Amino acid sequence: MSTPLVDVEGLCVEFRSSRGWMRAVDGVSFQIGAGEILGCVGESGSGKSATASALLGLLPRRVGRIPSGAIRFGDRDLTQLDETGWLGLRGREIALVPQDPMSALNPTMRIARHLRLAQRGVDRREASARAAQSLARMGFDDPDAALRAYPFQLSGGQRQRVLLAMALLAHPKLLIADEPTTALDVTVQAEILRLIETAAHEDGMSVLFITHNLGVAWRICDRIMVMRAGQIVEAGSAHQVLSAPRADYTRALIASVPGAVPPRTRLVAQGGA
Amino acid sequence: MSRWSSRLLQRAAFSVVVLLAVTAITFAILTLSTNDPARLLAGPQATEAAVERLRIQLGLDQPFWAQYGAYLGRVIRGDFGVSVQTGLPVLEEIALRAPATLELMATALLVSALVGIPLGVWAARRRGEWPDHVVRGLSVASISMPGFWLGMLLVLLFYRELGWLPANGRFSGVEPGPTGFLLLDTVLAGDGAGFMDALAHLALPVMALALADIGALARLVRAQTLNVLSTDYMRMARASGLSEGEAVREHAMRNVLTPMVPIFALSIAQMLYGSVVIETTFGWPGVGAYVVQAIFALDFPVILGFALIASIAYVICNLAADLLQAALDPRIQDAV
Amino acid sequence: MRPPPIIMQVGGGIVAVLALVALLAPWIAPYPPEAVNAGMAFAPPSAEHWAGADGLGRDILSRIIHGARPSLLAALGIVAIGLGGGAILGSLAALTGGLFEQVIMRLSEIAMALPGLVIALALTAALGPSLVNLTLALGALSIPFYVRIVRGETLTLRERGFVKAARAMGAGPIWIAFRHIAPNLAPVLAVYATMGLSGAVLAASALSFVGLGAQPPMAEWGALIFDGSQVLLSEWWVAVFPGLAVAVAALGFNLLGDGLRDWLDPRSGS
Repeated sequence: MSTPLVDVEGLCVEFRSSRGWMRAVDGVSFQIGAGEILGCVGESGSGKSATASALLGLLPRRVGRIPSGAIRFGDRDLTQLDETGWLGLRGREIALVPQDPMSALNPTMRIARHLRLAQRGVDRREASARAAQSLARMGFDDPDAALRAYPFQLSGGQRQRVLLAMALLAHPKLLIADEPTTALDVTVQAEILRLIETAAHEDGMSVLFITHNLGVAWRICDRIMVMRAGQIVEAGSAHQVLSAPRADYTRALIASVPGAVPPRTRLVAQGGA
Repeated sequence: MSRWSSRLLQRAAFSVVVLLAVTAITFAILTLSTNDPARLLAGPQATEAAVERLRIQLGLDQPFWAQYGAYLGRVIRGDFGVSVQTGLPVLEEIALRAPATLELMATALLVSALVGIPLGVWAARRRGEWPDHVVRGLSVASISMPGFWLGMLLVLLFYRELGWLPANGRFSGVEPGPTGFLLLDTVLAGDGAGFMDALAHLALPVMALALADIGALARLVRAQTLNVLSTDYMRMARASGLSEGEAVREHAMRNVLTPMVPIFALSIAQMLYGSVVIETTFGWPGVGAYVVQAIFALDFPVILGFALIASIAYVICNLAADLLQAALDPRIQDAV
Repeated sequence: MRPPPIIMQVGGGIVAVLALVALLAPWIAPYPPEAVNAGMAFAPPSAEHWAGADGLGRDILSRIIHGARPSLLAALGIVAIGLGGGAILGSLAALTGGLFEQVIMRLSEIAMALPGLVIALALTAALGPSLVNLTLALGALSIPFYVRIVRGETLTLRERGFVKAARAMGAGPIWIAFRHIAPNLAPVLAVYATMGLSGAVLAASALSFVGLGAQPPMAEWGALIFDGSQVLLSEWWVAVFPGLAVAVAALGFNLLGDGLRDWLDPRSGS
């Protein structure tokens, strides 16, 4: 791999509780290459979401902190970034697809306004053209109707595609997909996975794909790291981790989900990587 | 029929039921009151026969339901009886003083919203830090403060000690008219000095009236803002590049304020009763001070007329708040 | 269990002191509350009269101390009536269901849509202004508020495992209400009742202030403030000190209630 886009080294994340600072992520190191989809697999509480928040600079103020470690993104260390620095980065170079599409859109705001607010400093007409374009790319047959709609008028899958459109508007270098298919039906899941995969390959976008679903990880990820109790227990190519796991914990995870790892089938032919 | 219009109908029907209940209650109180209305109306010097004639004239010998029906009919026609003190129709007496009270309440509500909402949002955004503690302390203190007593403290400070603000009445000269809303009247007349004078007279009673409301409002807004700030859509807004300020302004404010609309209706009721004591403290020539006089004079038609009109106004406010809230929330409206 | 939060300790302290003052009034008041002393008329605060004296030379501090009795009793009475009525009607509504519940809930919905204090004002005027009538009116008008809380909480509790189990074993609704619902309802109601006491102290003093409550010469706080309001600009202490007593009492109940809520439910509050 050439110079990775993201190089995380010894990252620790802590949250404040009634018993003092509790460590959620404990010395995690990994890299994501350009255009690569890295899966981050673990049960809830394994530290995968805290890792995502750290990469987005969205750890809750005063309650969350990064006591040590570095997150190199290009030539910057994100752990040293102030809020102004983050504002230039979030939504532009690093974007998020959230877990629950039902609650991630403002219920009192039309889709058009969501997409407009996500494009700061873009001329109004330009912005609405891009919004429609982006929705069309996400498979909306009638983007204008979708733009006029309120979130409650859309299905879960449609909402997730809107959120994906929002995230991809600025052609980010890194997409953090935080369990983006957990709340969706299986058929809709496949559609969202395909869209993420396409965007990654067409734009050369890197993805940190967080999931607790081994089947989903198997399907979309180039490499996989398995997290437990804030640490990485195993990392390697998706094939290697899931078909020949070395760590007992990975084996237990796989065993606990019957049929989790189907024969490897890709929805989109993969080039390079 | 759309959900929107069926909701409107449902609320309107409920309001009618509530209004019927109000008339039943005021009528029951009237009947229940130990004082004989005929005797009160006729005066202490009237003979027993004269009182009896008046009783028949007033329909007091009729059965309960007939009396209630007659009462309801009178109320619907706007006939709330005549004041025992002045002999003038209650409705006229109240209408005469309503602008003073309405101006006071409207200004107090405005002040309370302009101060209470930002305080609540500020406390929520700085949760657990000093602004949060300060706002929490202020709101507990303000909720615990008897408004009329606070009014007296304000008089002592701003009138007696500093001499900055007037402490009595609502205008220095003759009220200009024509609406009775002095801020409006002075603006219409282009009378800048008069406007400032009316404003100066409003300052202390408005402060006294608004203060308890500010504390309660700030507390509710804080709680609601905390709810909204922790939603997924706020996280998504931040992740899509909005600054915290932009995210709060664009995404949070509407969702914080929409559930507050019915609370404003509650505030109006609170102020209505607050105005009764505050107007007395400040010699404000409004409905509240008039009712207190009526209480001391045991002028029942006035007391009940006030209760009835206040209740009607309150029911209408509630209905309006309900509809406004529905209008602000796209989920309640009909699908596009 | 966690230690009570500081605001609860402060609030509890204030309430305890007030309760002691009310109980021991005749022993701790420096003067009899009705002792007229023409020579001391409108005496300003001094070493002799800490809070000054009123127009009849009566010691204001002594009147405030004695005033704690009617003022706090009225507040207790208001909350007791509201809470008692609300607990009975609310739990019966929730446990019996059906038409009875419908009627109770519709009635309280209607009652909640009325400006309660304005109605209380008219009712008290009609019953004849007195502290007892004021207490009855304010108490009765607060019943619907408690009905809603009690019914809501009871419905939640009813679905909990231990209540379902009791019902499965054949326990009757009254047994369930007293044995299973009431003990679990108590903490929630304690919070509302404490907050209610604060509102009751304020409402009772306000209505007494406009002449609907305690009648002279009774030393009730609202009535004392009214006396003082007549001479506010010349003899400020006559109104200011009784008002301070009302504010401190309301503050004490508010802090206690606030702290109690945080203590019983760590998720709420700050």
